[in-house]
Amino acid sequence: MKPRFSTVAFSLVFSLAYLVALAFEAALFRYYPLTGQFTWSTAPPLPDAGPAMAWYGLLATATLVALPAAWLLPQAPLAARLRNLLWVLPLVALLGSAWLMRVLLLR
Amino acid sequence: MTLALLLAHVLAGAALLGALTHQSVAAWRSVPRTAAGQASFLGRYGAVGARGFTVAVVVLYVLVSLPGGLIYPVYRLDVRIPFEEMGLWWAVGLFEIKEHWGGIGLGLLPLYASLWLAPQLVEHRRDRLVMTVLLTLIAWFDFVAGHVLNNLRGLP
Repeated sequence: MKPRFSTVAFSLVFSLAYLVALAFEAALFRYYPLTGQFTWSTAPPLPDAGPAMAWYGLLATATLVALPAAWLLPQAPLAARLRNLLWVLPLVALLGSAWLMRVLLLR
Repeated sequence: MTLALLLAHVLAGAALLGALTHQSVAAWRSVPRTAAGQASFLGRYGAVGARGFTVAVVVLYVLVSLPGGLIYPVYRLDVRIPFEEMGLWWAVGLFEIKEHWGGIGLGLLPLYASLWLAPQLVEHRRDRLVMTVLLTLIAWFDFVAGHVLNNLRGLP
């Protein structure tokens, strides 16, 4: 039996999960490029390890949330129900992520 | 090595925004699957087999993201910290938007590819058009933002 994978569910859930993870600082892990160390995001910041990077962890969080959704949600009914509205959530994710960065842009 | 990766990142980015812009114009003009000759420049620009760009866009997007992800730690240490010390917070913010839009775009590739290639989604014309335009916007923004940031302080 061919495994089911909904690309509609994956991309929509991915974009939403990425935005939520960014807003709530819920990256799965952090990477410290100065020392090459990884820590779970629940762990306290490493002292003397330099700046931390969350981007890889954000991608991992969004992927981990989106994969089960893509396997569980059926493609055809979801696409039919959201016909011509599939772009709304990605647009919200793009605008929302830019909005969250306003603290840096306007600093 | 960093320079080679940066060049790969930039060159693939240029090819990506070219392919996506072509595809967006073709989708906008509603002639995505014909190559009929039209008199105007815009007509000829849009009269391409837009569907045929899809695989190239996905491959190019990954080819942009991989070297970008690999040189990101160098940026974090050798470029962002000086930006912060110089008080160039708008530049830091510009890069943050670039990275987040690039990351979200990665997750949108499966849907984008399905909208162009899956027979069951052929009726989703508006979705196909807007998703292609969104990816085009990401490609252009990331390319221009990267260029501006590299002009402010290039990678060592």
